[in-house]
Amino acid sequence: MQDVQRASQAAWRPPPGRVAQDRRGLWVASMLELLGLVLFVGLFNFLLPNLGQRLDGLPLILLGLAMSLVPAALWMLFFHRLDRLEPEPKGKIVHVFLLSALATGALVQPLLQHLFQVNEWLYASWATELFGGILVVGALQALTIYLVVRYGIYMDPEFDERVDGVIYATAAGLGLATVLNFEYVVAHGGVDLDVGSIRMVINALAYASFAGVLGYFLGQTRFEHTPPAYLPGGFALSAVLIGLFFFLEDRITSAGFQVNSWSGLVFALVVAGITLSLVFWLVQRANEETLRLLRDASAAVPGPGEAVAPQESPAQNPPEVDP
Amino acid sequence: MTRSPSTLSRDGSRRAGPNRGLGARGWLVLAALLLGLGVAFAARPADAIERKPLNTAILATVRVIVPVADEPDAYSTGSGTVLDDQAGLILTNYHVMGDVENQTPYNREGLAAIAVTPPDLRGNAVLRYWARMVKEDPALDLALLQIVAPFEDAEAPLPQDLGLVPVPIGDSQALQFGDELNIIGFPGVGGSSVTFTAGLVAGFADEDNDGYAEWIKTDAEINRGNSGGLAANAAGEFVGIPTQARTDIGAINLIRDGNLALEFARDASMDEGSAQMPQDPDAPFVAQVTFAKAVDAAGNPQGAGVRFPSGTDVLYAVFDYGNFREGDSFEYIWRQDGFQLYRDKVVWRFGREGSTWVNVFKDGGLDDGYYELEMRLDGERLFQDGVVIGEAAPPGTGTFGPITFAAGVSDDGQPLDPGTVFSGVKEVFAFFTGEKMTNGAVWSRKWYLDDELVAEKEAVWNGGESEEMWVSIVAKERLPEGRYRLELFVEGELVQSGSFDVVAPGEVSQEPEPVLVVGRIVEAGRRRRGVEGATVFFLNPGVTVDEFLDDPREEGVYASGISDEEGYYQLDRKLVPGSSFSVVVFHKQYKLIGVDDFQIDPEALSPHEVNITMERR
Amino acid sequence: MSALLDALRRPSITNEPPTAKEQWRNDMAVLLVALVALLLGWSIRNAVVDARSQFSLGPDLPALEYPRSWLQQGKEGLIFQAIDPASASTFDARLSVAVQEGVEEQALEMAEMTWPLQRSKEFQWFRHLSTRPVTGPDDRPALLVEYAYVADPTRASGGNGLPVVVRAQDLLFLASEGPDARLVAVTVAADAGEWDEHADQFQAIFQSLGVKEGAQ
Repeated sequence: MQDVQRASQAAWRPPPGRVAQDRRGLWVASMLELLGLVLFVGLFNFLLPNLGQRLDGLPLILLGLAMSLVPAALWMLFFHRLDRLEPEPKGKIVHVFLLSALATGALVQPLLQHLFQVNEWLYASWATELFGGILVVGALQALTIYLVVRYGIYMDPEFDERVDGVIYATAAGLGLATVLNFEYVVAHGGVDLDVGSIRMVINALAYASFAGVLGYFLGQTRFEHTPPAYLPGGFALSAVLIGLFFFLEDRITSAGFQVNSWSGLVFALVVAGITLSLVFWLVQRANEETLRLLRDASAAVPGPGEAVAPQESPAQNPPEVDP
Repeated sequence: MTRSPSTLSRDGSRRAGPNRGLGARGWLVLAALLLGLGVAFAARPADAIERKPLNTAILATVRVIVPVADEPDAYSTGSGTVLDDQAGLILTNYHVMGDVENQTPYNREGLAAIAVTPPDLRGNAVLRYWARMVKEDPALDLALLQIVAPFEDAEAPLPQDLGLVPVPIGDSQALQFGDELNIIGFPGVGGSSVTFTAGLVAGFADEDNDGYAEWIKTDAEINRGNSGGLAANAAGEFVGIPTQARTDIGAINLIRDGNLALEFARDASMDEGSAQMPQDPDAPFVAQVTFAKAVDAAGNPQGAGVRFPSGTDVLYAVFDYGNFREGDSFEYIWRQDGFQLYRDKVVWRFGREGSTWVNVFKDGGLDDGYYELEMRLDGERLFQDGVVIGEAAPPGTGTFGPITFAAGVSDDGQPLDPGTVFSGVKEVFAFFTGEKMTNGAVWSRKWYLDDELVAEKEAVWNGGESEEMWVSIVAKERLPEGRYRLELFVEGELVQSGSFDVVAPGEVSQEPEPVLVVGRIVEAGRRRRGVEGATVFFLNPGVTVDEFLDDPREEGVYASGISDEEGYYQLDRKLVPGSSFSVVVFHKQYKLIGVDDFQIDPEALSPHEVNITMERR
Repeated sequence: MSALLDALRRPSITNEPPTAKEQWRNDMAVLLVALVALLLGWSIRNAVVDARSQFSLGPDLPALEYPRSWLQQGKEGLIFQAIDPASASTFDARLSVAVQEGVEEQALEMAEMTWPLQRSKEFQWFRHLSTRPVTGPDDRPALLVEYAYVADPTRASGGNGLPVVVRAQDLLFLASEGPDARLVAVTVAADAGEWDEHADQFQAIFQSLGVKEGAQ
């Protein structure tokens, strides 16, 4: 464990080798999360289908609220169990989760419902659904995740690995999804458990994955010089993903006169699986690159095993120019 | 974040441990769950396709409740069968409507309340309409009712689509011993839902030994309330009316032969046209003017006719009126042989429509002669015709010229579209000229369809020696196909006749019956909560969903419906099976549904269910 | 493609964290993108929410504006009717216009007394709630009559839905003077339980005519 001096936030940086932790625990936790969510859905659709019919009013709402928390709780549980190596403090993760939930419930949803009045116009046609979904809903939600991570944990010393971006952003995404699920339950006086559980799982999967994408970019920019368009590009990408995903999701579930919730769930599982795998792969490759560069740097400069900061750029690649 | 170095050293080892994934037991449980999923998916409810025709028969059976005059809590109840869903014609037994022996209806207007089974076939029948008896035959114990007003408001106009399902017609003569018979009706007295009883054809009964079996015997149970209901064959087609439940000879019950009942109904649906110019439907009119010697307490004419014996001291004219406005001035004038006898004028305060009478009398008896009644409303003449008291002028050699049949009549009384073959018409006109007729001569006409008398009318000639006149035969919806014959009589002697045919319209023969479209709009989910207030639009062919959403106009809508609090909806117009429509379903709290080219099942029967699931926003 | 992938996974080879200035630049860039997106989204929202269809009441009257998503229907006795098919009730919120030709000069004063009576004959369980003078189109004197009644919206389609309590407002004003005077009645009506949800739309409709509170 290094003893680190911090003159200023921007100047402090962890040892490069440290940045490149892969955190296998995170990825396994995410895959298990997917599985756990499938079981969650299966529980309410096949084992306890009639539970909802016997409940009504307040008990149903309370059950719905408890269900909203399950996806986030599952993920955090798996992650906690699997994050054995230098685990992230659970307190910080919960902190980010709650901050995001608070921001969503207190700011984002009111903005969407009352200022933008999305319910009036978003579903007016496929074009408004797609572009409104990206430009209004996606942008606001991505902005929330960005701000929560940026001002909630970004400068914290706990944020010392590239993959921390993904971790904390995922927690923020789950916080957002949980509040959306809460609202769904409360606004409709309880929820039909079978369809409700599917809808909650889809929300959780989508937001966790796309927040993860944003988190990757955040993690990169925390520890690297990046081109000016890099982080905004990542932001735009996650906004587009959110809008596009729910647009396609809607097309898939509303097939004619019947509602195909299961197709929507399968679609969400596939998308989440691909996205998470992609993010994992990107993080892994970036880490490899970092480690490779470090090895090259330490091989070129013999000395104590731990490099503090590279004094010169490696020869292979020209240095980035700051604008 | 800080951990003791000892844990640090465990970094990198990837050994399998209790926290590493699910473990063997976990996978086993998961596999079992997935198996259960597969089973759950496999078990699905069977489709009810084979029950559809019976569903139609069940929905075509209505409950008939007849209030008894002067007894507020007494009702006669029975069942009825919907023959014509557009005209609202219902067939039932006479004894449900009135007393068979005295041949009097239970209430003066011949009114009955009609309750209809809800489309999901469960639950009690719901009171929907008032109907009036338009034709009865106490000897056959048959009555035909026609729907006249919605139940909630007797003054309100009827909706364009009554939302009824007509019964498919079968051939009762094709029944054989042992064939399946299904009795459908409302047997209970106090609040019940439609009941279906299965049985077999146990035999046939020919009461008057004329070779035609007027009754079908069955072992199926027929209770009192089933009277007037539906007896259907295996395909759900009408083959008879359950009429009697005889318990003395074991459990053999009687069903009125279906073909016989249909003939009765068919007769009743045709009538002599009024020999007046075609009128504006909102204009005031009088109809069914009947001259009689007396009227009973109920206002029905007694001893009607066109010629009355000398010395008759009072002459009544009973008539129906309609579209009369309050405050109008109603005037009637009696003339005898051209001279005004009596005249009166009243300010109308007796309702928009109904039945009433006027009369003329003289102490010591009315003189012989030709008595004519003229009725006017607000100065406009509504009726002018008369009868004869005493001996007529000596029977002359009056006769009629050849008859010309036509589909219409022009404004100046000339035939339009004359011919001898008609199709798809509601009314056929017959034009002829009187030759050497004398005023006061009694003449009559008889209409026959396939050699059976279907309508007749007697009148007193007042057209002078030779006048062109026309008469007509009119049906409620369409004249049934067949060969028609008109015979004209003067003083009881046949003087002229002519024939024409009504055939099926060629083009429309293949087109299936439009069906009533109903359904339930529910929220996605196991509970299937009904969505209230969702508006369903079936768009005109050629209009796509996007076009409609871009510019919502009524011209784009073919049929629409709104769901009630249970989510049930019904379209306000029937759809032709096999046709395709774009469909849009709106509700504020649910995602919009738009489907292009939704096809109605070509085999669809009324009512055709189209259920819709909506997703919450 | 590989260049893109390269750029994605290897944005910098310095393994150096960004400077404070870079950090600031990143934040601003993200905010800018977000703002641009939201502005574009806002204009889409406006285009749809404020999309209006028009109906002309007459040569010297402002055009009546109503939401584009409302369905225009023809109805006997009315020169115009539009309903909101997305209404959550079986009685769809609606706008209708009726005109009486050849009325007297004092028609508006007469209407204050007689209009509710006339309406009571057309509707079931009619209840007159209030009448107050307002300023109509082009600063004409106008009346706003508020009332309630019971409607049976599912009867026409033979349905079994419950009767609905409807709340409505009639805006009455004279369209022209002299012998051709016309009394125009613009009516907005909705299920009484849904009135609040449609209140904004109704207000927008009256505003498009230039209606203001308070008498002239």
